[in-house]
Amino acid sequence: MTRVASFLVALSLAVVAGCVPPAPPLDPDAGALADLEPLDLDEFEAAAVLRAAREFTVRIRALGCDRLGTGSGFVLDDGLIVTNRHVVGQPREVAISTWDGRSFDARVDGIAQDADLAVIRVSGLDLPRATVRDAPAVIGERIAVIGYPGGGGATITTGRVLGFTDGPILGETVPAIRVDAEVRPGNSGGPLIDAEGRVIGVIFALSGPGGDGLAVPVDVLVARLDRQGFTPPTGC
Amino acid sequence: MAPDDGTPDDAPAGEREPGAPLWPGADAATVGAGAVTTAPPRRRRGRRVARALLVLALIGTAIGGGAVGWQQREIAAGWQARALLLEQQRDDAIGRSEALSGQLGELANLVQLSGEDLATLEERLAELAGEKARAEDRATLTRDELRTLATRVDTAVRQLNACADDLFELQSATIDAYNSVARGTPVDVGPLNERLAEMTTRCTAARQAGAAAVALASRLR
Repeated sequence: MTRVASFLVALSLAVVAGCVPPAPPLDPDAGALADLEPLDLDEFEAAAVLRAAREFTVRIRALGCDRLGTGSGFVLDDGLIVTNRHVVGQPREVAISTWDGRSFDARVDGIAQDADLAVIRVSGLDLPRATVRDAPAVIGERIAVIGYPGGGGATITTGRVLGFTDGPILGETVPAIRVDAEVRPGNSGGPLIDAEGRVIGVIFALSGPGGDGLAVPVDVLVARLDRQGFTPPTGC
Repeated sequence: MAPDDGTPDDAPAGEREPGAPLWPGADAATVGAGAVTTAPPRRRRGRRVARALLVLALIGTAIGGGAVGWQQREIAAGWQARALLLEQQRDDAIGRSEALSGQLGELANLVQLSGEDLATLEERLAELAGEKARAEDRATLTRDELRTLATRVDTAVRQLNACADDLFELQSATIDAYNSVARGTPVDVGPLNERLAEMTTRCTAARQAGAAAVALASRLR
């Protein structure tokens, strides 16, 4: 009797233990994106950075006292363009051209006396603005130089930061950034940008046997802008 | 519970009277007739109860097992339906995935073509912008040279006018001197010569300004 009862209890427990739970409801979204892998967008990001940099870089035509010169510049603020002093010094007539062919008359707003920097003003300019990096340039980091060498169309050359000049060079009293990207006449005033498209310098010269590019560090520009270190240009 | 020894709970064996029934409700004859070969009635009743309980348990187990079995059958049907639905969804997903893959491939081709077209157009736009900028450079230079030419022409004209005025004045002075000589009045030609020298200098400068303007105009032609 006891064995039979035990058997029944065991049988009941076995039946209960062997029961299968009901099927859960289906999740229509489960696994929909599980197999997607992130895309490698480095190339697209680099292209986008360079495209944006090209849009805020302008070509500058300056009719001086005795000659016509061309250079480069970049939009830093609404209607405010940064370039080199030697591009727009003693101006009689200044105009800018965008990468897509639009032209605007400009006027020189200020010239830095202790650095090869100048700012010009343009009315009705609707170009994107450059972003300035707070951190200084780092030796070895990737950079790009945007400009209009030879008075032609916009070009982009890439390279790395080689270092900094030891002392005054070509009238610059502060250490300049030395880069190995190709720089030619006409790049003067153009931006030196980092891998994220932020401005870290202003190209102003070539130097050395290898033709290294030299750039004014952007913190020098920011300091001149903050303490209004620009004076009106002189006439012919 | 009292032990199952056939002794009534309320009458211990040692106190039972002779001929009294062994448990309440039973008479002595009955007890005497069956007590010889079978178990005591209380014990048989207990077995019957146990048997009944066992049968009830069996029936309950059978009913419960049947219910569980029926429920499990329903659940199995649910799982089977789920499996069929999942299989169908998988097939649909595969079909959609293949269709989307095809569309994505076409889109990728179109995007690539559009990107190439865009790059070509932008390159062409940049070339045209460069040509336009260079043309504007030339126009700026030309405009500046025209301004210079206008200035030089203006200068030359003013200097030539001054030269002509000097010529007329010198002519008048010369005629006056001639008339004076004709009247027998001596004339000092020194001042006339000085004026002639000054006029010659100014007229030479005017000729040079005119020549420079002509040269600039010839270059702009």
